[in-house]
Amino acid sequence: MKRTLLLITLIICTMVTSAQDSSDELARKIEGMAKVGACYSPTFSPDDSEIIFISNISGLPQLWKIPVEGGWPMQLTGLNDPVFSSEWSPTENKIAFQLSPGGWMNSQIFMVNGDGT
Amino acid sequence: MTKITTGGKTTNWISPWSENGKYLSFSSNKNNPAGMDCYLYDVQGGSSELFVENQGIGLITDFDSDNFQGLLYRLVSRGSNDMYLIDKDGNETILTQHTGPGNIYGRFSPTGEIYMTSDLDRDLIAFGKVVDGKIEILNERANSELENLIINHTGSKALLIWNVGGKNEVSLFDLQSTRKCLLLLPICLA
Repeated sequence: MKRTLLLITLIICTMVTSAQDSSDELARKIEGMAKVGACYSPTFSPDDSEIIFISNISGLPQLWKIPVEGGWPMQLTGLNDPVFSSEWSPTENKIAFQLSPGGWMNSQIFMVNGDGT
Repeated sequence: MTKITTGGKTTNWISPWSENGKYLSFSSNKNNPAGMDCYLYDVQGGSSELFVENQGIGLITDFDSDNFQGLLYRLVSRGSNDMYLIDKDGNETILTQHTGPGNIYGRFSPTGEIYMTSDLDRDLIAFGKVVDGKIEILNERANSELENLIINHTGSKALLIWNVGGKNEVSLFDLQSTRKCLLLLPICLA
């Protein structure tokens, strides 16, 4: 009798652990999908030496800048809403971008200096 | 940070600047609940004027201030659009004739050419140039789709953003030599 109880307990423990593993795996996959990086909406600086682009590499899509030779990108905006698109003026150090407070359907256009201020 | 659109419950999509930096183009439904009309924002004057009306989705993908003409993306149906060349008098010239669906997006180069991303007569979107009303493919990838393109201010290089298995890769394409190089970002995008 004791042996049967022990066996049943062991089976239940194995099932619970298996379900937990499956749940962890699902959580890991969902987390991984949410972290898939993207970069889009690039524009050259007026002197063609730098490129700005939108990326979600810090979580929320924001404006980044990188030298045209490559290198470490610099984050220009750290806003509470996602930035969807950007355009650097061809003649001035001004960047226009599309910010979407509350979602895409409420997108508004803003302008900042080339250093994000 | 300066807000240049009217706010409220309006949708506004940014489009490129004119090459002289005088205008910023954008699409908005502020006066047309049925569509996204295209406007030119005068940066010095701080006001915007209507450039072209659209009964549906319309977007200026580039604006040539020298000739006061724009490239207009106009959605025809889900997953298919046409590209037009429009001028200040409202004349519209369709740039790409196609019967089946097609995703086409265009940019002017400072040297006068029109470059496009297109999947006309092909499975995946590639990079091309408009020659005699047709798109001549300049760069394509076997398993990746082109998501975006931009031409630099001298017209010598195109920056291409590819979708590689759901992740983005950025490459520079030399328009004179057709040499390609991958612009490596130091952060893993996966």
